[in-house]
Amino acid sequence: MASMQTHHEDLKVIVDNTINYFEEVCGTPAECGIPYLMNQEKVLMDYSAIIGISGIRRGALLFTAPRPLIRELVEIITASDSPEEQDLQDMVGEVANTIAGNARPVLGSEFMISVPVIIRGELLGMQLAQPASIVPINWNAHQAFLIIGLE
Amino acid sequence: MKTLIVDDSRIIRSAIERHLKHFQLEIVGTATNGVEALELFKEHLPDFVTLDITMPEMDGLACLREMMQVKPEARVLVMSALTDKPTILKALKEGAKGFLGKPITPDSFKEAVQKIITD
Repeated sequence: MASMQTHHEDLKVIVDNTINYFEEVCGTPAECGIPYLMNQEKVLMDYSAIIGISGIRRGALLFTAPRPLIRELVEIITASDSPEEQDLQDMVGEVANTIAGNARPVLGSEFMISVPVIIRGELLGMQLAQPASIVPINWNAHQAFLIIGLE
Repeated sequence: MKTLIVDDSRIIRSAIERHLKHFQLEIVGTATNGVEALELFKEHLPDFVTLDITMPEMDGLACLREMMQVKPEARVLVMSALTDKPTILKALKEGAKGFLGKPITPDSFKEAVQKIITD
C-alpha cells in the first residue's frame, strides 16, 4: 500500500496537471481549493469521467464538472458555439485522460491509465480506494472537482 | 497529401480537422480506434497520420506498428497525454516521425504538423 506521503505527492502531481491543463488550453490557469477527504457525500456534477489506475498505483481518478464549464471548454477547443451532447461527454473524458496521462513523466511509465468511462449525472454506489481525496478546482467562476482514490 | 485523423475523442478530431485547414492536406478519413484506423489506412494509404495512443479496441502504438508494415514511408504524428520519455521513445522507435504531448494548442499542433510534412 502506498504511504500517505506518496499519496500526497501523487495528489500534487495530478492537481498541478489540472491547473496546467486549463492554462494551456484556455490561457487562464485553474485554482485549486482546499482538498478534503471524501465521505459519503454526493459529489458528482453534470459530467464526470473516471480513469482506472493500475500498475505502480491502483485506484481511480475522477473529474466531475458542471455543464457550463464543460461547454465553455468545448467552445474554446472546437471554436463552435453549439456543441452537441456527445461533444460535452467527450470533453470531460479528454480532461480526465490528459491530466492522468500527464502524470507519467513524474510518477513513471508504470502508472497505467484506462480509457475514460463517462458518467452523466449522479452515480449510485460509487466506490473509490480509500483514502479518496476531493480537490475543488475553480476556473472562470465555475467549480469542478477532482477525486483521487489510490491504494 | 492524403491525411488520416485517429483519435477516440470527437472534439479532438474536430479540433485537428480545423487546425489542418491551414495546410494543403486532403483528409481521407477519421477513425475512433486503432482497428478502424488500420482499415482506413489500408484502404487509403495516407501520407500523413495524426494518431492518438490511448484508444479502445487497439491502442495507437499497436496500430502504428501495423501501419508501418503496410506503408513505412507514411509520416505519423503521435499525439498523446502519455508524455513520459519511454512512451515517446517507443512511438519514435515504432516509426512515428513526431510526437506531440496533449493538451494540444493551435500553435503547438501547427508547428508539429509543419515540421513533419515539410521534412
